[in-house]
Amino acid sequence: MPKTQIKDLNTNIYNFKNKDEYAYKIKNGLTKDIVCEISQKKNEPKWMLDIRLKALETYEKLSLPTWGPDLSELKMDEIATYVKPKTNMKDNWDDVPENIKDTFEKLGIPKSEREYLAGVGAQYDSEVVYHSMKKDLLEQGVIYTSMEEAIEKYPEIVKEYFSKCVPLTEHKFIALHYAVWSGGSFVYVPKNVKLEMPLQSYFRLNSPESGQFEHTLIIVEDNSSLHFIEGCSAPKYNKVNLHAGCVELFVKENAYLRYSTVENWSKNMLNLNTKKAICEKNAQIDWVSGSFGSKISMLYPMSILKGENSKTEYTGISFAGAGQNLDTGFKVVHLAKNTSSVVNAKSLSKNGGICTYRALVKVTPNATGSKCSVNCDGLMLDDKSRSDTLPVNDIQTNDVEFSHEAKVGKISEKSIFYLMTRGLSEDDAKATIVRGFANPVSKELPLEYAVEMNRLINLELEGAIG
Amino acid sequence: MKINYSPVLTSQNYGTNYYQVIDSTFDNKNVSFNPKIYGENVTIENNTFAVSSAICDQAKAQAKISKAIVIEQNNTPVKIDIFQNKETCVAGNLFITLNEYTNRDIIINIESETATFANLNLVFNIKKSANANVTILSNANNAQIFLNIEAKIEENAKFKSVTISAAANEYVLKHTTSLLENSTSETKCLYLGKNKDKIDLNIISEIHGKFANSTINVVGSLNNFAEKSFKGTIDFKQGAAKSYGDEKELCLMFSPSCKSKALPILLCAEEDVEGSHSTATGKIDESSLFYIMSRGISKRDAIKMVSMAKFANIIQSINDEETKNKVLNLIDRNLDNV
Repeated sequence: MPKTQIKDLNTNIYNFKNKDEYAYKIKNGLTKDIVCEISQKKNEPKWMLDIRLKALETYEKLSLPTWGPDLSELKMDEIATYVKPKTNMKDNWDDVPENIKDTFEKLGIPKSEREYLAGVGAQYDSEVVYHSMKKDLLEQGVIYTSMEEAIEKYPEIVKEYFSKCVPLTEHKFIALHYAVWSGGSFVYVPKNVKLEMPLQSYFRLNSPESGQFEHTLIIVEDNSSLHFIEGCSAPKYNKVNLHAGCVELFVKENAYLRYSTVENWSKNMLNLNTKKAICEKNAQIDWVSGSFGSKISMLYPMSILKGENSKTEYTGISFAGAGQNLDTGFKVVHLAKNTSSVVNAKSLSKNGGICTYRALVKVTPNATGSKCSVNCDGLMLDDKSRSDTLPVNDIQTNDVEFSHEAKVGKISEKSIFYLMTRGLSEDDAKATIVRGFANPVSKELPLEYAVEMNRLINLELEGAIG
Repeated sequence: MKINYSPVLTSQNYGTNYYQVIDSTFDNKNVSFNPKIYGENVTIENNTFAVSSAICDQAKAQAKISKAIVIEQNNTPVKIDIFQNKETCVAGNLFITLNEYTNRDIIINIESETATFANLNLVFNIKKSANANVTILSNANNAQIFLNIEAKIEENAKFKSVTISAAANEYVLKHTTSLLENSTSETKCLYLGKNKDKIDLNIISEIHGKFANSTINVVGSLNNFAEKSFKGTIDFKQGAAKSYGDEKELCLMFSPSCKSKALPILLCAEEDVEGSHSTATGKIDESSLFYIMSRGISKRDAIKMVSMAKFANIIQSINDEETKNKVLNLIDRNLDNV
């Protein structure tokens, strides 16, 4: 039987480069002066500068992780941590400079806004260049803006929540993030407001040898709901780029938040992102994640189920091709009674790509009556690739229902035979199986550009299998 | 001191990669090693091998005395008693070679009422087409037991092991199997944790050859303040095409104060393999208990019945009737206190 072969995803649509133009690019490296300069350029309050300096101190004390992919090629001396684009934030698409507008037009962002979204934010290099939201949401008190503007206009709210979900001591790269963060979105959904349409932020890194360190802070108050979509891409350069963003989510009582990400960074990107959510009583946080790009990813979203009856679901897929090492997973901590979590993770590795599922389920002694179900599957598409599963399960009470299942292997010949007896060609049978494998996740991927991504996967399969 | 490391590390913050003991654990102990070996067609040889791995370097350095035995075909089992009368601390290496086409049961007892410490390296060399059924029973109430088992399984050979930790204050097991073409490894572990017992199991199966088959099945119960950490690794190396690996872990928790950690690792560098793992943790399902109790059976007996059913797969793998009865009694006594 011939080998199953699947071509790499066609990422050319994301790989166009604009001229490296900027209003200001900070010199490469990471020093106290650079951190102070970023803060000064942003005209920040002193409390934020204090956080940055404390984070820098922590970054210098912490060492690189002893586990996970090799990060030795990351040289902070060669990375510019702040690149200000040649524009300020606009709320009218027509006011955005042509070359930046053109970038986001190619990515389909304004079209999505018109058709599907309640609001859009677009970040180019280190700053948000465009933010807008439907008027009726403004009237209901929903805030959707850049982090910089939020610090200026809503300092009390930001101060109350900033760095409270993800502490700056958590690991080396979150300390780095807090030292040099720039851009990102701030969303505040007041009590009893349910957004029918999603909000979307898109992050584009154009400048070579630079980093993107956006900070996203979302607060969904009691009885409210929100679907937030995040997309990321960058053109490919020869030297490494770095993405060390941070996402802090607060889901209050009876609230619901769905956080969807399609990450398609270029294959020279080190993606060391940190995402965490705190769920209060009866709240629910759902994560949908598609990881397709980057050279190295270390990405483990985390849900802290703090309130009774809170819930979380994680649905994720990773697709590692040649030269990619995607170390992803999900962490959940059950802190309160009757909390529940469902994890469904899939990975595809091909052409020497490495997929690792690295995860944590922790059920604390107080989390009696909790339920947790984890399922992770890896599909290997050739013998040059790797697929590893490393889940940690830490159960500290007996009143819990916990189960974990994982499978790894190739496409089953029995399944191919079964489908062929039903009249499918061998190629169609294999394509059907791979599509079916990815379907539980890909059907959850969000809207316009995710549809594009799904279509891409399917087309590639149809053209190449057999 | 951190010992018994997992082959692949995950975040250090999780505390599952290793087992923590006090620094002086392997120091200043008056250890001896005089295992009694019973069985026909068994040759005791002077050892010339070196131990390739141990729970940690300190444990390796402590186990200075070595014995080597070569086992040939015979229908009777080979029995090995590790502790002799009044011995309290033992440390040593035992090299066991099963010659080609030999099919034997091997029963190793680490049992003593007076024992306080055991540090053992059991190294198995299962030659081509040989078949070893090994049962290792640890039953020493107040002891620290450090057990390193290594098995090199040659082409077409089978290595089936059942390790039982019925009683020990501290039980640390590292169990490594290395499989060549068309070989089979069945690793079964049963543990009964109570009081403040600490159990650390690190089971590694490296599949090097084609058409190899490796299964890991770990079942146990925790009561009172007992803690268990299970690290299981099935590692498909490149070249292990058409091989199969599966690990299962089930932990019954009888008390809200006990703790269970599990790190079931699946590493895959070969496409044409089938690998899977599953773990489940929790108390006995209330509806099962209710069903049995509705038939007029007391709660204690219902718990025993359900627990025994969960343990049955492992108990049935013990070929030696005397050991099997001993294990059944130990489980029964243990479940009396639930």
